Amino acid sequence: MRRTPGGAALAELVVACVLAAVVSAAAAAAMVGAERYARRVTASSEARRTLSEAELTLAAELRSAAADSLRLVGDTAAEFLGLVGTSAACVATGRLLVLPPALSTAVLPVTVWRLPPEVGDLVAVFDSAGGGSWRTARADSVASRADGAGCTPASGLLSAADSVARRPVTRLRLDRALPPSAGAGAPVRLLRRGRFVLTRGGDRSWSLAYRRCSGSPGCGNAQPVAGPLASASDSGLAFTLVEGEPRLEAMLRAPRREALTPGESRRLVITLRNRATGAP
Amino acid sequence: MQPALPDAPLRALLRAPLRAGFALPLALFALVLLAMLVALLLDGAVQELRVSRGDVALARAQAAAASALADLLAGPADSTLLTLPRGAVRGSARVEKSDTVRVTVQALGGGLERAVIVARAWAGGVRADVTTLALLRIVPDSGGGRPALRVSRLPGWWWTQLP
Repeated sequence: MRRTPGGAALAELVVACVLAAVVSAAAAAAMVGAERYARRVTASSEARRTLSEAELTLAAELRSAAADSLRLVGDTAAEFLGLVGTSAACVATGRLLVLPPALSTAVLPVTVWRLPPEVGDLVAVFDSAGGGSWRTARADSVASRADGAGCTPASGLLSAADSVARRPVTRLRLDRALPPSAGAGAPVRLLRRGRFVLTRGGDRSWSLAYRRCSGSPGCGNAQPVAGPLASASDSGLAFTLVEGEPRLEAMLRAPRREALTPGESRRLVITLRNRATGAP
Repeated sequence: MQPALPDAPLRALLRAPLRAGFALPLALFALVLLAMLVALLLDGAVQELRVSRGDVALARAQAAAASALADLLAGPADSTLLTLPRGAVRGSARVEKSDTVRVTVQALGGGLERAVIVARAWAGGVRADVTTLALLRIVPDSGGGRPALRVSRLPGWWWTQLP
């Protein structure tokens, strides 16, 4: 009688099960390893992205700061006069300053705001008299005016198209009069005192935060800018001013992922090119 | 009575039950696992690469902007800038492959100038832009024998990066 192969024999099944078990175990081990590696790489990328974000924020703000306006509070906070915006005076008479529109059809808008200007901001106007220096005053009032507030296309700083479109200019009333030599065309910058600090949030994580320090006594609430960073005791953020050089160093560190492994870190060297009012 | 089938081998084939194999499902399972593993590794690598390319592009854009500003400060000043009316703009552009640097100088009157340098750099498909503002003035150059003009930075605050 002829036998037909009607299914797997017991020996075949056992071999198949053993093989499947071995392959599955190897695959599972590889998957666990790969998943752990992927998680580590993702966390590392995330940490680096956070550090990049913190670095970009610090660099953007502090590079524009004047060396003589910057001071360290301990080693985890830096107080500075941050740039609110730059412009050129369209009208500058006595205590009145009118700046061209920031929203402009011009190829090169004269006014660039990083933050909206506010009452209490420090206004620095370049005075060409003598060797040239920056005159400072405080903004007593800030208004956005569509009527131009005396700024006309004849000044060269307001385009005819912006004038017709009634693009709003910024009108500032200062707490003191500007000298006549700081007239139309004078470069203007608005500044606000602030502080970058390492703070601990409600979720117990540490982050780089910004505190506004002008306008009211002391500094305002900390607003997180980038994080999470390592704790203060783990050097999450450390500032160092290099003696005798206009240079600020900031060391940023991400939180530890494992007990014995330090987190990703980044060292940022900021060359301070500006001075508040002084000579070059 | 059933009709007889034509030949014996065909009869045997029809009588045999279908044999359930395990090699194909196992191979498919292994392939899926392998694909997941490769996808995980690739995802991590791509993330790393993008971050690194962004850093490289930004560094290149910053270097290009700084270099253009240094060129502007080091070179002799164009005397016609002094004759430009307030608000008038003069620009130049430099293109190297896909990277560009545009330098625009705007007259503010009284020899004061406002230079805006926009540098764009690419690294592996990732783009970075850096805009630098410099406040400058045109002053007589006392260094050479002939009377000439040069570009000088404003005293005190003169430089910033714009958003």
